[in-house]
Amino acid sequence: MPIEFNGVDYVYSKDTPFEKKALSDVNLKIEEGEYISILGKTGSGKSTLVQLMNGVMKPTKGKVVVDGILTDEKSERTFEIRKKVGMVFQYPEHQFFEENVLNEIAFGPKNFGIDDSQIEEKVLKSIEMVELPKSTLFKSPFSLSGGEKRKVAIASVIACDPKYIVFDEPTSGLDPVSVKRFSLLTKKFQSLGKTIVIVTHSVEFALKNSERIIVLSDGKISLYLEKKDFKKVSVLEEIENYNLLLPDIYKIARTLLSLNFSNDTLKNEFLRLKKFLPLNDENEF
Amino acid sequence: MIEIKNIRFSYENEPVLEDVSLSVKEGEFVAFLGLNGSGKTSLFKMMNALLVPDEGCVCVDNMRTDKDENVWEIRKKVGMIFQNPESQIVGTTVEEDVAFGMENIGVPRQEMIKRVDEVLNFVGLKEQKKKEPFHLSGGQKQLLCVASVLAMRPKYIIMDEPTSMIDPIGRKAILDIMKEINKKGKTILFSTHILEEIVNVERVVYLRNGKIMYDGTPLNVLKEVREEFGTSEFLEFQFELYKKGIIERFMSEEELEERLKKLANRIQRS
Repeated sequence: MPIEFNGVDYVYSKDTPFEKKALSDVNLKIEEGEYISILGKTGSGKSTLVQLMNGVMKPTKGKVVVDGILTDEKSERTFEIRKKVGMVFQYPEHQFFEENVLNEIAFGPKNFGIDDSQIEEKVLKSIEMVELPKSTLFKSPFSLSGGEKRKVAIASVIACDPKYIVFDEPTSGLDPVSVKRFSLLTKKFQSLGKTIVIVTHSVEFALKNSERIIVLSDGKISLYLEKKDFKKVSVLEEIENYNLLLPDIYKIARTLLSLNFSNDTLKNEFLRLKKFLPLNDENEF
Repeated sequence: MIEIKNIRFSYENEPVLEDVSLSVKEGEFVAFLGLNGSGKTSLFKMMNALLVPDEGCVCVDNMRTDKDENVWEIRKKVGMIFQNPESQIVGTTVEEDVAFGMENIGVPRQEMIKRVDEVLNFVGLKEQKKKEPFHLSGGQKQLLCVASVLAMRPKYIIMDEPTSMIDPIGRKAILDIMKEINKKGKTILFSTHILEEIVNVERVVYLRNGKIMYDGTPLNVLKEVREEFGTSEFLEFQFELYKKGIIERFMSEEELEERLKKLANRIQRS
């Protein structure tokens, strides 16, 4: 079943002089098994939206339903929701507290009451999934490199076998090769039936990997984009209206479309170069 | 000039830098690339005596970093900026943060007041002067760190992944300031994971497993490392333009756009 937001408002410090509306009238349905990105600049309400998804916070108005469970139900069900929705935060080292990687990854499943006999298997399966060598299990998570830390953080979420996985700015600080690896990993999770939610500033990552994008701005969903829209210049230009930067290659494609290289060998050159540009067939120059 | 000669460095018996030699002249703008753990941060720390090599030597303007009596002078010449601005801000207001470093090196009060305004103006934080740093956005916090370092008037500025924790809009502001600083004649060395950032420089140094593997123009270095480090559609497109003789070096998006427009115009006229 989906994660559903129905007419959701969220207000911080309600009824105080510091009252601040972070989300207003959010309606969103994240289908089971889909790959969706939530784009928005800093302060657009992304983090609030994410924290509403696993019951960390409850809406001020409206309803959030996760897999059929209302998030403002009492404790036991909140626990159920947290098991269903795994969160990978931006800086994985902020999540660590165990003395070695094994305990770090085992913590989640233990907490969710999984039988000790199954925990080891879960840990091994999850490090295999993220391609961490077994030798790291007895190292301190704090001693690992940035890339390895991120893998441990992902493995510790996977070990709890969540239905939905939410990644907050997953690619910041990663080199291009690691970004590529991360994107393959998320696709693998999706093929195993997980729902993938990426919260990011990176328009490029969202366009390359997701099936659907929503753009948040000032606490409202301002734009819903489907895969078929991802290469339409006019649609992409709308993204720029919300203080998000289009990837350079898209800007160049747009410029080339607007130029007129009439009757010239250059025109032919650019036609040949088209495969390097993110364009649809209907876009001719 | 920063001169590094055949240095080696190990940490807990693991080699971190192996036989690294490098020299950076005044006024250069150099980007350092390499996968996580390739030794970039250690190499940077060598340049202002936060680390000293096990073998070989590092000289800043002919002063060896392993001589205690030089360390003070070297740190005045070489300013450092790290990835996380939060860990570098010490002042309770923006102006105090800028003043802190100057106080440490004994800049007279009148001069300090002058420089605070000058650097905050330069990075575009004049309006925020009296504010508490936590009110700033991530990008503004990093600009504040840049201002605080600039106020000490270092000759060389080393920035270790200055943009990696900053959102794209803030990142652009930081890069623009870096370009400005370099134009004013200061030497800038920075590391990054974001390929688009190397189009701003003339020289790229690529590290792998603690060794310098390539040192050259962005185009020549990327040609060698696109398999192991990864590449981007924007730079691949530029490669193709380069091969056809349409451009002669990597350009920023704005520059490239200008170039393409010019080409189109010229052809229409002829």
